[in-house]
Amino acid sequence: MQIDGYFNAQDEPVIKLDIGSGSIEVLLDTGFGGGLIIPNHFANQLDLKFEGLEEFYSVTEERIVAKAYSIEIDWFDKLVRVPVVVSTKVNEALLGGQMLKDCCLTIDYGRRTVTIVAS
Amino acid sequence: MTRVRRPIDSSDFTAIPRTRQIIETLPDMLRICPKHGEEVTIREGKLLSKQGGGVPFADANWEGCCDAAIDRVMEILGLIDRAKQTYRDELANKLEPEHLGKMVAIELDTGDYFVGSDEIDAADKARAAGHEGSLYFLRVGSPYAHRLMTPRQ
Repeated sequence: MQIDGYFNAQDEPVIKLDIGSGSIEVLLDTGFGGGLIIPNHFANQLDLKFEGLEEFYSVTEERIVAKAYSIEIDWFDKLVRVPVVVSTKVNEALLGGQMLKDCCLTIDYGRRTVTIVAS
Repeated sequence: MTRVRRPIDSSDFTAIPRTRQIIETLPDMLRICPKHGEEVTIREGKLLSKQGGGVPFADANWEGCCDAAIDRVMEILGLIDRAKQTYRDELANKLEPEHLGKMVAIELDTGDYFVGSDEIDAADKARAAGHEGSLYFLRVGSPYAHRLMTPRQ
């Protein structure tokens, strides 16, 4: 099973993720160790379950306290519950390493392909 | 509307930048008063002309629309500090190195903890054990839950 992505207008690897009632573009960010981060303005449209609070450490040495939720998403054609953080500190949705723990991510800048394959 | 002020002890002045940073990143539901819709902030007093090697202001205050709003922010900051302290003092020795990299959910009110593969797993274990209070997540072996190492605007 495979998820195919693409490069966005900023030449960054992204995939479309079915999340709630629609799909959103999420940036593949291996510099982020969590599951998903979405900006505040996306959160209102989603069916999120509040789980608690957690703290992030950013590259600018900022410590960010954020709300941790869970949400059901379509991942490899299965409905799965994944951790998602809502933060005012990001402008786009990010998908981190926690989502990729049982996967092989290939970003081929030469062939302009982005694929995530379930291990 | 009259603003409520609550003085900050001078021994805590050096913690103000970090406290303010945490307040700014707190979820709106905690940072903003649900009754009046106003933020809780920290405000320093007038700048001192002669600092004498100390902080550059004589006083600093918590400021908010009402006592309840200030109390809520101070309480959540205290609970987060306590959860981290609980991890450092009690849990680190129990959980490291066996559970290194896993997520621990600490219930803020009781200090009870649950280890899981991620936030959901840890939270599910807490709820299954009958804990309904707010949870604070930490990664075992780390002072925070995640790192976000790509610069963002």
